[in-house]
Amino acid sequence: MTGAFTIDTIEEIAKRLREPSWLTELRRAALRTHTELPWPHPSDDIWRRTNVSLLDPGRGFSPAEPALLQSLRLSEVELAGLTRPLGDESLLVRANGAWLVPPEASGVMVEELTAAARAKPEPIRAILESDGLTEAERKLASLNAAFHHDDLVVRVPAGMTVERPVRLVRAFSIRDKEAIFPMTLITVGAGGSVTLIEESISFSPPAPGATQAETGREPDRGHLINNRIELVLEPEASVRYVRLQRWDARAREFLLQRATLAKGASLTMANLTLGAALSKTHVVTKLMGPGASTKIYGFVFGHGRQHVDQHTLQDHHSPHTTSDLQYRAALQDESRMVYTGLIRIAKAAAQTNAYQANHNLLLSRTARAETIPMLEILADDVQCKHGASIGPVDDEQAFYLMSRGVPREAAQRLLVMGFIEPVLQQIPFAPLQERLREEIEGCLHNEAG
Amino acid sequence: MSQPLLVIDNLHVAVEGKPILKGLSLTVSAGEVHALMGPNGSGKSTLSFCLMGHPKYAVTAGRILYQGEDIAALSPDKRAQRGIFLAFQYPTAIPGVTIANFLRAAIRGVRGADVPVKEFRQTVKTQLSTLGIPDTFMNRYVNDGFSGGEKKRLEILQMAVLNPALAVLDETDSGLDIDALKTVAAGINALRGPQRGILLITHYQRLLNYVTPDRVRVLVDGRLVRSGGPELALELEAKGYEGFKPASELVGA
Repeated sequence: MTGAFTIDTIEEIAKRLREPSWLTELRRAALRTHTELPWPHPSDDIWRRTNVSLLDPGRGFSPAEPALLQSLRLSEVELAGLTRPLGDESLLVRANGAWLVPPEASGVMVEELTAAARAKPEPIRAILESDGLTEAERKLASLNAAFHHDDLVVRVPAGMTVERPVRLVRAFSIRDKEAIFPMTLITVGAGGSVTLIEESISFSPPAPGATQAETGREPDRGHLINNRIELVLEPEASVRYVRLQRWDARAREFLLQRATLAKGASLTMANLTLGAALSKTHVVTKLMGPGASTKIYGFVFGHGRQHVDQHTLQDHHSPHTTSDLQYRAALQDESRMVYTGLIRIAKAAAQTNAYQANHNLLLSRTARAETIPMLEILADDVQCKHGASIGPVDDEQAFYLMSRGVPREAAQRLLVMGFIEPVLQQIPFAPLQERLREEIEGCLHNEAG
Repeated sequence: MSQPLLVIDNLHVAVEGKPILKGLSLTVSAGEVHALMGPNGSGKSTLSFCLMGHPKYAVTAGRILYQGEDIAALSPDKRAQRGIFLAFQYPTAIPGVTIANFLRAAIRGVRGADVPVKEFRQTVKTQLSTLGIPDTFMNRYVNDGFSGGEKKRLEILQMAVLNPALAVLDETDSGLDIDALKTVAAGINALRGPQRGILLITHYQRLLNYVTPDRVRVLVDGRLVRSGGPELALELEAKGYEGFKPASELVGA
């Protein structure tokens, strides 16, 4: 059953957005793809630990249309929180498909997809048509390709260095049982340089009689987000990208986040996961050109009954490419973390270095983590390492701190913050680091570990 | 006369079921510096961990009285808050936690209140320059990637900032070159005072050239075998521990 997600929905979206016909044709093809493909099979190691049917919009969800979205008002407190800059960044705020703080001339061009596709279709089309996904990924990503609506294109022209960090806040207020399909396409031209922070936020009016933490994992509660983020780095482009996920505690998310790096491009990426009841994210880094390099950091703060399933793919296609990945999760309450990380090195990608580390800190007896490294190496002459750990706070470290008069709870807090610090350090915007430190420390509570 | 600072009375300690200390008694009064010497494996570090309340070190018999109070049931943080400090032989690295944050948390713990930022900076700055430590030290992670000498200096820095009533220094002299040894010794001497008791645990007599103890005791196989003045350390240096076989008679304080 696909409910409201039919060809008619696509025609309505196309009409409303007045998009070029080729774009609508891509939507129709995506819906066909989605319909034809099976749901990921439980035998698939990358999918088996998450109940994928919870990400199926066909199960009682309806599209949250822009017109409806815009009729939902944010409270003054919410608005003030969204529109206040943290420092000297260029701040852009978009709420429910309209600009609250519009883009200003900062070297970065930000426009809606329809406008960008009309003005210069080819680059957009190339990104939207690029595939290279697994069948299972395509099953879910095709939903976004069919129904995407609040779409932004962020472009940095070739040779342009954007000095001030750009912080793009995307907020949505979504009612129970509604689904949204946002998309962000980021392209940085040859030799361009930018620091971009993308914050995703959703607000949801609580349903009567339901506690926030519980709703998202029940089949018929919460809202659904099927998200797509594409980063395209032309030769020698240099990008620092931060994604901060703060979806509402009732949200479920599927995200396909993909970065494609041409020759000599470099990307430092930090993906911070704070929100949502359930999330399944695929972070794919494709090193297509010789000498491309990427550092990928991830941090998950799991709390309540959150289920966080993250898959990363470090996909080396060219020689002399480097990827260095470090994901860390601090898990309290009954939260659960699943990490699967694949390093794939094609035959042509000689003299490649690939590293992967995944560390999980369990802050309660009921938190759980699983970590599964995967290697697929077809080239010779490569350096490849991976490491993983799962465990509670280190007893000897806690003893050392306590021996200095630091009470157990404060010691645990210090150790958790110390565990997170290597990832926070990678956020290329100090005021955001500081805010996250405060925010995460404020959310930590103590259980007799 | 006031009560002794520390009274260890017939202390038996086991680690994972294995007896290590087998009836140790000694007394340290405020204003005194005591040296506890012994060969490897004699139980010196066991005593220091036990004094600090490490959960792996179980007191199976005897008592530890600190300022007249039996501290057996106190957690390590409570002991530190009452004024006990242990300079570790092998300080633990804590990546991600800066020395500045760590020291602030420690002072807050020991004083039971936040220190004003200005006062904190002032206190630390004075001690840093005394110990010849650059200010940038404060932004480094606790013991992370430190040389042996840096670790020991950080221990002394903490001791100076936390201002304990009883300081136990476990092999603080080991692994130090002569310059670092002198700096550390100066740090210890600076803390000597009528209000403070110091227990120096050491394998070698080296440190005692710079910090003259009031009393020296020799620990072998979990028992005290000799007790004397500073000259005992010199005798040990000359003869080694060979002559100090476990004795049947215990030497009290």
